[in-house]
Amino acid sequence: MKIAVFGNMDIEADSGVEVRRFEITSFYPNEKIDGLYYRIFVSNCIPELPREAVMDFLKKAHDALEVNGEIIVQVPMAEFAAKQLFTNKADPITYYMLYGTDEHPFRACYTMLQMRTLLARAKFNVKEATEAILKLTTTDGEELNLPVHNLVAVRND
Amino acid sequence: MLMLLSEEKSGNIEIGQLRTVGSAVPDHNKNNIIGDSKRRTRLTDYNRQEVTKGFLSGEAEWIFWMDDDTAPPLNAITGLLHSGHDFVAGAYFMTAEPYHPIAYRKMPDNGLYAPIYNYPDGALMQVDSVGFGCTLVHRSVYEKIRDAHTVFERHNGALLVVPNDMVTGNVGDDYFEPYVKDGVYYEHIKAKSEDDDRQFPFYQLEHGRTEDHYFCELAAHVGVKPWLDTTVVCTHYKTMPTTKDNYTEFLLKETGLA
Repeated sequence: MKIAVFGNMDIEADSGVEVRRFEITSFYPNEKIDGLYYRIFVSNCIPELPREAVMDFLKKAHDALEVNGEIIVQVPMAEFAAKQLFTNKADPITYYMLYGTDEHPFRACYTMLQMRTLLARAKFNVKEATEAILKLTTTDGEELNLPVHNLVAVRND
Repeated sequence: MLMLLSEEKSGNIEIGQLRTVGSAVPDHNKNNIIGDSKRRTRLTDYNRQEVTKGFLSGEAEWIFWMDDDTAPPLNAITGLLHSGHDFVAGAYFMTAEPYHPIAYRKMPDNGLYAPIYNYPDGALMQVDSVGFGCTLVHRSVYEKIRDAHTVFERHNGALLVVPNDMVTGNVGDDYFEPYVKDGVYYEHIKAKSEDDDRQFPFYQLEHGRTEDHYFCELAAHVGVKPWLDTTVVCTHYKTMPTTKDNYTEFLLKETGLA
């Protein structure tokens, strides 16, 4: 069994499970060469894609999954960032959620409903769409809590 | 009715039977009225029991509950079915402030229920209790509940449902009045007699709570918790219709954004 991971996240795989890491901007799955994945994690990196590239990525991810395979998507909560701005409570986390970093700039920010709609358009069935906290560690070793949307969707053709 | 027709037309659903408590639709074809118009005024737990009885005696895989004051959107059943969960509800809103969706989480410190509030649009989340105004349940949930519980008769004749793994020892015949000792309530119960034809009580109005809390707790005993899909949004009719707009407007005011 194979897992594909996009983004800088720790995955503890069981024995016999192969974990492959990819850059979201260069994902070219080939079923004949790579086989299919039973799970794809996309953590905090969809915002790096230009909007017009997101559907293309999700369709590729869909086709790279086994039937009944799952995609797990985490994106910073646009609603939270917007609320922080509108209530004059914006802090460095807020700006990170909206703009990313110099190394990984964000091109877009997503609400839960937008992300869910994109997954549905890519023919996934969304089975979970919840709020979560992603623990980030800065290069200085500081731990940050990033509010994210956490979506689990299934390919069941 | 339009909503149900839309399921067969554009969804992937076959409506097996309508089980209604009084209905303006002629009682033939798929419509099965469980009572005459007088039953409209009976308690909701009784009516849900009767509908469940009919459902379990039939062959349908799923039961979709729709209350007569709740108007789900088109293709609500298809939407709920796509979530892949055996017990999933759409969102319909309390008719008074703060207009929260009728879905709750159980607070771990006291066992009481707190409403789901201030969630992101589009959330699909596991909760502890939901209303049954727009709710889809798979047959297996009822079967698991029935198989994993024992039904007793309480001292006052009402039925009591207890998870099998919480039952030990024998049930005695010696009746005694209920009492409290050291903060624990004691009550005599007896086995439900074989000639008692009351069906398994999946729904009960008790302790001032609505009957859906009771079902959710039975389901939790067998490891099934309900999900709330906030993309299936209903209008809740009382004197006036309550919609998601009421909820959103109140929330924005409360958070200083309106």
